[in-house]
Amino acid sequence: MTTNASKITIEFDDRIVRRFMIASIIWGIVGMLAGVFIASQLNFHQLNLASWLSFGRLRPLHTNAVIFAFVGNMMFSGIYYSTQRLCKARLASDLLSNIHFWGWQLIIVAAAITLPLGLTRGQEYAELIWPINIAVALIWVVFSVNFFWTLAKRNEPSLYVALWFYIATIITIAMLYIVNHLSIPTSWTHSYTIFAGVQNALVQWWYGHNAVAFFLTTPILGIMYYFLPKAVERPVYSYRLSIVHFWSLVFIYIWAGPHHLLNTALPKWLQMLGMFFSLMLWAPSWGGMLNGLLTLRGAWDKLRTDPVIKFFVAGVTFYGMSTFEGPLLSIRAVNALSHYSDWTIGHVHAGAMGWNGFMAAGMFYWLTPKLYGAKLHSTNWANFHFWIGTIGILIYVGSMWVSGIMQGLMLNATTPDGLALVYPNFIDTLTSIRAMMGFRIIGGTLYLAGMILMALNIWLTIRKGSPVNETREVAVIERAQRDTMGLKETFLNDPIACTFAGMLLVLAWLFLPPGADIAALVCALVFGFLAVKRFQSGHGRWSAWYDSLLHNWMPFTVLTFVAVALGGLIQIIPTVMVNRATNIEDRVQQPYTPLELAGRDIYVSEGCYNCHSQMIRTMLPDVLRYGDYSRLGESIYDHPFQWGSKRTGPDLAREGGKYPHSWHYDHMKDPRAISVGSNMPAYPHLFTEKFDQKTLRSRIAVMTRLGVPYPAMTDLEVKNMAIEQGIQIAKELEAQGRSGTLPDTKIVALIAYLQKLGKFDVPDLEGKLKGTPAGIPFPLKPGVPDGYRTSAVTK
Amino acid sequence: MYKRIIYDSALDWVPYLAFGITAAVFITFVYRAIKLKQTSADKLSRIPLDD
Repeated sequence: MTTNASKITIEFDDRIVRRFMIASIIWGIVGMLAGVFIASQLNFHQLNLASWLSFGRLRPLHTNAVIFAFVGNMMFSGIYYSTQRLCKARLASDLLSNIHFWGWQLIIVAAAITLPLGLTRGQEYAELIWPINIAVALIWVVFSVNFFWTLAKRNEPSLYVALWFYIATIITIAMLYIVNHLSIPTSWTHSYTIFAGVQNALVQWWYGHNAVAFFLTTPILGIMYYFLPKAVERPVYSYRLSIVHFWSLVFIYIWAGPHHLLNTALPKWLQMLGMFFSLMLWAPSWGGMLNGLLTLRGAWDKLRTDPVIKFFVAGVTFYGMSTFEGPLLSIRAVNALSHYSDWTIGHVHAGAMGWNGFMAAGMFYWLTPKLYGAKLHSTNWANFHFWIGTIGILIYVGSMWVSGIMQGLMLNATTPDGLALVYPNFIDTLTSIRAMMGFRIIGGTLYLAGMILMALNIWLTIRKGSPVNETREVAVIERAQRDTMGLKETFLNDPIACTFAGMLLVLAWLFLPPGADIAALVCALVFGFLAVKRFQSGHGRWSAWYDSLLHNWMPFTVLTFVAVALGGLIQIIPTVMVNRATNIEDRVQQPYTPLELAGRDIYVSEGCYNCHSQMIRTMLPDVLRYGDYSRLGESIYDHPFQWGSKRTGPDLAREGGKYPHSWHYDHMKDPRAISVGSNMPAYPHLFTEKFDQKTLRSRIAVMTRLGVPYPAMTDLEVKNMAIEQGIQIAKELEAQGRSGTLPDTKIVALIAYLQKLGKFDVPDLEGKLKGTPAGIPFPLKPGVPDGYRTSAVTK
Repeated sequence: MYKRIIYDSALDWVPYLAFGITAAVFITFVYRAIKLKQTSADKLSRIPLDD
């Protein structure tokens, strides 16, 4: 590569790096403190001190704080530091950097306020309410513009592999976040997702799984590829392997989301697809881990003395271990045991504490002396942090493995004849893991202590030094030496045209009606033949196009987008385009009455889904314990779906009608009065607070717009219907000896909802064949197409 | 359309199609990685150390 002769001295914007680093440490401690607190609540129910301090509301705060505040700020810190060095250019805009930083912190503060107040969307890692969702999207755009603008003005023609991982992070998270958060607001603080039931489940876990992949993994891999070689002062072991690592990981990861829904009502072909791609992830993940570890070739002696290397090596090792465990848990047979249990919790904490947390610590210990021009206050403290953190992780993860496997085995144990459960009482399985829950607190506390020690160590280092912005003399390269491909060159070429046309024809083959699909298949085959011929005649041009990826961010970004969009398209388009009335497995959920809907919103707001699933899997022990397995049609009106991912308490899919109202009344007041040994919080506030009547009509209206078959109702009719049902429940409670219950209290609405769970209509075969009869019956019967329902929207 | 995807045996080949696409992508990038000149690979890998 030739550069022109002019050289300039640039000053990197390291202030933004310092800010994100400090924010990461502070929010990390907050998030982990919340984690230790909720782990303690699992053992000591008395710690559910108030409604806003209950487990169901604080658990989302913990997960969001660790993922988006701790790892998010760490990621931005690492990306901004390394991108400037890899591009030999200062960040494009100080203004955008500042908007990014303060915007992100405001989002975190907003989340920290709204989540304890019970303002939530009710989907894991996607709980934040819609105004915050919009803020996240806008700030992400600011980050993207700042990043790509910096790439466009860089003084290094080549794009180092770390930048590839950052590009993949930016475009994929934007795509995932926007699609999964598509909602219709009912008020300033509440909305319903546009997806329901199985659609919602699939989109949510496409997002949820890939939030792990592209928020917690790819940016940290980019950081590994930059900071690990810097720390050991030698280049990455194999650059070729890093190329294969990147493309394999990015392409395969996006398909694996359905492994969160194994053995559920999700169509089996999607389950198999998720399992299949999860298993394939073993290869790129371990390729990346080995590439990281082998970078230390000839420098292993530093492991004994340098805490930075200790953290990096342990972090990369945890990456390898948790990415081995992930595919293992995605095998359907293993998942039958592990799903809904603490094993999964142990797995994610091995990744978050071991991989993310240790990579963050290594990076911060390496960065602080450089950012503040002072020697680290205490290497011994850093070493102590490493050991206390490692022991903490091992205690935590080990206890969760034991707990998960033990409870999974107990819950799935049947008598030799297979006709009965060995442990029919759920509480017995909970009691048996209480000791493991205790170890969980100890492990978490040790890890948190290490984090606090790091904060102190870095704080004392900062006090010794002063902020330093690195300056460097760089050779300015001409525009013609980087990003030589504009829009025209990027899109109008054989490789891109053939890829897009091929994808289009294959999708047409999949989705067009009979006849047209065959035509599309023939076209695809002919086109494939022509593409091969064109490749043979212009092989050089195709190679040159690929080589241009190493020096042009735009075609690189396009190709990455194609890679990540493909898996999502094939899984999600068929599910989202489904006509729900024809995809019900012969059961149709009964729509919720206004009071039941209000109760459902309370269920979501209190975070009940954090401990209770609503999905009876297609497994004998599940059916013996909870009843007939769940069908697709039984959650088609659930916006959002509440299938859950963890059973600290039993499944509730068929809870309706199982117990009298008084049972639920007493259980919510004092769970231990009904279930000795339960660790469920009591909910006294539900007995005094009123359910929301003000926005009830707008909630019904939004549900109707989303295809739920409500008849047209006025505001008054909605309220009357709710109160009449409330009065009925209050009367029944009185008859059961629970007098004095007001019909407009939250407990009444919640009881109404719980008693509705599992209610469905059996389809009428004749109706299914005939289609929709004149007029819209209420409740709607099967056979009515979705499009027809739009006419029922409340005016 | 979706009903067909759930119930028809035609869907049995979707994982094979997905695997085929993935294998093609993987082979393509392994090939491109192998074809990368050693000098280019060395130069690229040293970018972080080029202070």
